[in-house]
Amino acid sequence: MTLTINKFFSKNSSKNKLTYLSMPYSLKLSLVAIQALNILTLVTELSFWFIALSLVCLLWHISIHQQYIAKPSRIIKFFIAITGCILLGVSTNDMGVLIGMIHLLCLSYLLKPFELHKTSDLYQLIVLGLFILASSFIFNQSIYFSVFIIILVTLNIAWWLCYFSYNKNLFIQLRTSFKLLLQSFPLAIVLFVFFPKISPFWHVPMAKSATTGLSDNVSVGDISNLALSNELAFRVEFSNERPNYSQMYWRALVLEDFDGKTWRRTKKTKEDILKKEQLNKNLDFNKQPLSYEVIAEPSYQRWLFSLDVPKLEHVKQNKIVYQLNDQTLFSRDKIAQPLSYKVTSYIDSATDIDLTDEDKHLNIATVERSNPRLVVLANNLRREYQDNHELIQQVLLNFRQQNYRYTLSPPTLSNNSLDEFYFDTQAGFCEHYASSFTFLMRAVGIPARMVLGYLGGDYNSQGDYYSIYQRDAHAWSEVWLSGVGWVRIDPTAAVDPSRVEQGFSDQLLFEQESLSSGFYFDSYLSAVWLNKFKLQFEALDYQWTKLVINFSQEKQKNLLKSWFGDDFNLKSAIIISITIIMTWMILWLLHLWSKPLNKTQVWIRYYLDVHNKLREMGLIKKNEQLQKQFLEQVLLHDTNLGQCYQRFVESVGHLQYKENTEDEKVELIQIVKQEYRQFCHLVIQIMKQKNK
Amino acid sequence: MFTSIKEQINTVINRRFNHWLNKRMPSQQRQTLTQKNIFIFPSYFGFAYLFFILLLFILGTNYQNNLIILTSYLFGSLFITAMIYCFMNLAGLSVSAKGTYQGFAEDVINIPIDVSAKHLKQTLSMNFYDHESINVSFIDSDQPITLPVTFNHRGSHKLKRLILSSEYPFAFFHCWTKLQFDVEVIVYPKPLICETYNSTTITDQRENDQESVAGVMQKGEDFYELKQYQKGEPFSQVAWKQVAKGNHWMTKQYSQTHNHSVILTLSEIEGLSIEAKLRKLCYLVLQLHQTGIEFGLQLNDQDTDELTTPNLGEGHLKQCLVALATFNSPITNNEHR
Repeated sequence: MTLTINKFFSKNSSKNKLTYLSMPYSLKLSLVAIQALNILTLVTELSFWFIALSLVCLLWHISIHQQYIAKPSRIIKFFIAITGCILLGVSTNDMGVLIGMIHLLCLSYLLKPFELHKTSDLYQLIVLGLFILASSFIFNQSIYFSVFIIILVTLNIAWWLCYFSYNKNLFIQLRTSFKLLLQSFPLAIVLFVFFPKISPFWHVPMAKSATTGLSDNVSVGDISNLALSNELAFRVEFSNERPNYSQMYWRALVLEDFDGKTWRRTKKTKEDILKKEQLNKNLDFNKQPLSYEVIAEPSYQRWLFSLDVPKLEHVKQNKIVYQLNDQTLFSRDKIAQPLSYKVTSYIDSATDIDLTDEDKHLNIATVERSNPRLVVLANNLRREYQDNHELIQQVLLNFRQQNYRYTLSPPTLSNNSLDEFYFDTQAGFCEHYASSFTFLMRAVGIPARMVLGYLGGDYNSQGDYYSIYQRDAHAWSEVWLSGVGWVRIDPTAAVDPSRVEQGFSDQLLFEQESLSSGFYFDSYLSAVWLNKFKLQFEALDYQWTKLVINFSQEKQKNLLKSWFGDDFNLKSAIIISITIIMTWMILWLLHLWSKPLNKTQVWIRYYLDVHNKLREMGLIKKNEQLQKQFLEQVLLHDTNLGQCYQRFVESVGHLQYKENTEDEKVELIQIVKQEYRQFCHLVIQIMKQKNK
Repeated sequence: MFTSIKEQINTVINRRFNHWLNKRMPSQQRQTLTQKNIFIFPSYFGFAYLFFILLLFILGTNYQNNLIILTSYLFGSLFITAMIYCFMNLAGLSVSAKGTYQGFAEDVINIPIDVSAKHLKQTLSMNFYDHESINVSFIDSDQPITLPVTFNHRGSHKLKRLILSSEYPFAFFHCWTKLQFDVEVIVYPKPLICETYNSTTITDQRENDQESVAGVMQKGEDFYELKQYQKGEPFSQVAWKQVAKGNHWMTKQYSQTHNHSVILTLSEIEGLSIEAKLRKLCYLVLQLHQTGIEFGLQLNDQDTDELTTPNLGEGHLKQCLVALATFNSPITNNEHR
């Protein structure tokens, strides 16, 4: 006996008669459709020429399947591949490495179907498709997109199942594939929760995307543009107490450098990262601290958001999120995906009671000859009021009493002149007021700086969190008073108190709507129940972002600690193994409970298989073809086989279309079975003769 | 040198493995597939898929992207699920085969097997070890399947293990079983067309007739009588005119044929090797049977037995063919292919 074990692997898989070529026409077409859908998930990242190329390739595949044109020769295939690569090589510089790689991935995925000779080629194609689906998560992680991806994964797997199953019906295989994925989910979730999260192995290229939200240099007019955007900036969940609307000044950037037109952020170095002692010195621990978690949306910038005066909850977070000495938070990397961090804020704590001369100097600097009328005003004010407090009150009173207007569409100013705004137009958005106020303070000799951030937030009662949108962007001032430190002063409050207390007034909302050309869903969602629906969806998306997308090393550790206590090693090992075993058991039971064969429909299976076998012999029944026509085709091919096929089809027809009693049915099924077997024997014989 | 060592190692491993296999899965007439006799192992593609999952995991970790990591876990979990499905696709299948089958060398011999399943089984591949495989698209309830086997050499062969394998649902895994059944195949020598048979070897009343047997048949001799047709008699001798008239089937008996009988002797056949001689004998036996000449077969010079006495009919033919197949220690199994 010399049985060998060399059949350990699927060595004879090439012998398998399963080939892509023998697949039904409809499946080949659906492969093109699936490819198109897979590429679609990355469409926002692909360049226009590539999308055009994809369309050409897909149409080409379709016309090959339709037999309009022959398969391309090797030279043409080579030519396409080379052209694609050259185009890629040329444009990689503009795209960046990541997008370049994505293009390369898509290109190989599109060209692969030209080269489907072996079963392994098909495997490669399918795995490439799955890889594309997974990598699209780099660019979009919302819950809706994830659901879309899961549907596509199911579709891809269903197609794959079609290939291996006798039943080539995509819709039936969709059910099987859905079942398979459903059964795979428990283990995946267990792994997700328990498998230790690992830090990145090496640095990877990030996507070069357009930045959104605030920018670190502001001229008048910039923020009112932002106020037209209904895009989400970040979301906040308070752990216990919630502040008033008017307390929610979300600090993002401090601008200290003014050149007469534009406020800029001074360059920050490592020195500017706040040290712990420094922070604790400032904080007023008598105040009630507010603890909250912020989830910042991708902005492709590095500044983060917090209430005054922030203190990062976890020291370890400092690796990703830093606190700077101007009390702003800063991310180590550009925010390319939702970033979550926990902060405790001591509202209205003073900071920097002792200001260095250097800082003082920086914050009273004005550019000579810019805005001369404001400088004159400042000199008058200084003469009138010796006390800084009184002076500030007087300036705010001016804003309140004079005919100043708070508007989203301020008249354009020549040269961004603050003089023109303050004395002539007297209509502006928050940055106009903050900017001119800060300038005035500096002219008077009070250190002052501009702060950018967001004000307020929409409360979602379903999810108990606040959403802050780009339209909530705001600018205000900080002045430094000796003995007190930096004090927040919002001149907008003097002009339009409702903006600070409740948000946009009706008039502003009206302006916003008329200014923005886009279609706003919000205004159409005024119906209460619809609004509730919307809130629920948003809450769902929030939980998704919080629990799944931001499930970090830290959160995992805390979760496991809360479940198993500090010494979670042994216990957790037991629990993990139990969970895995349970999952297995569930899988087994599901399989055991799976319905036994549906006897009533058994002939359908035979019918399908007979046609599969005929297809392998090159006899393909087209959908529009009548049974009779097809029969003639089979008879022409082989008389014996044709007769056998005729008998079989007639019996199936009896079963399918005539009303039979149970006994008759059983008998008919037996007959169908016999005929099926005869047919199979004939096919085997014919195949053998052919081989000879 | 190196290859020979490799071969030796291989044979040792194989012997060990087969010994273990025989102990674990002995020959039985009906065998049901359970975890005891099903083997499962990732295919090459399965390993490639695992590598793909690892790649995805690294991608997700590097981008700290939980969704990509979750997707890699999901695909990994799918791998496990596919393993269970692959195993389940074979488990519970019940296979039986037995008996002795005959056929010619280098010719396809069909071996019927009974397969039955309680649940639907899909996309199986079946073959006897060393023989070509067939694809079975599905099995439900009872189903007879015929498996083709081809032997290159004559002899009495015991069929080696039946290999049943499946890669359903995704070809991540190769799941297979090797079942031993008591099936014997007697392989007749492949007939070798030979020139006229020298009549000196014919024990005939008319010793001086030098014509070949075939010649005798073609010439035709004096009509002797009509006899009731018996199964197995050649059609060429049927009296078709009688049949056409509506009478019973009769065969024409010729006087010469009647008395004529042939003893085929191995030693008298010309040929290079004993195998070639046996093949020629096989051809002659078939020819004589077809033409309806009584023949006897003498393989050994000394003893005479049942076969040597000239006779006609299916039974006799079969006996002769079996004798040809098994003559002189049937070829052992390891020699073929």
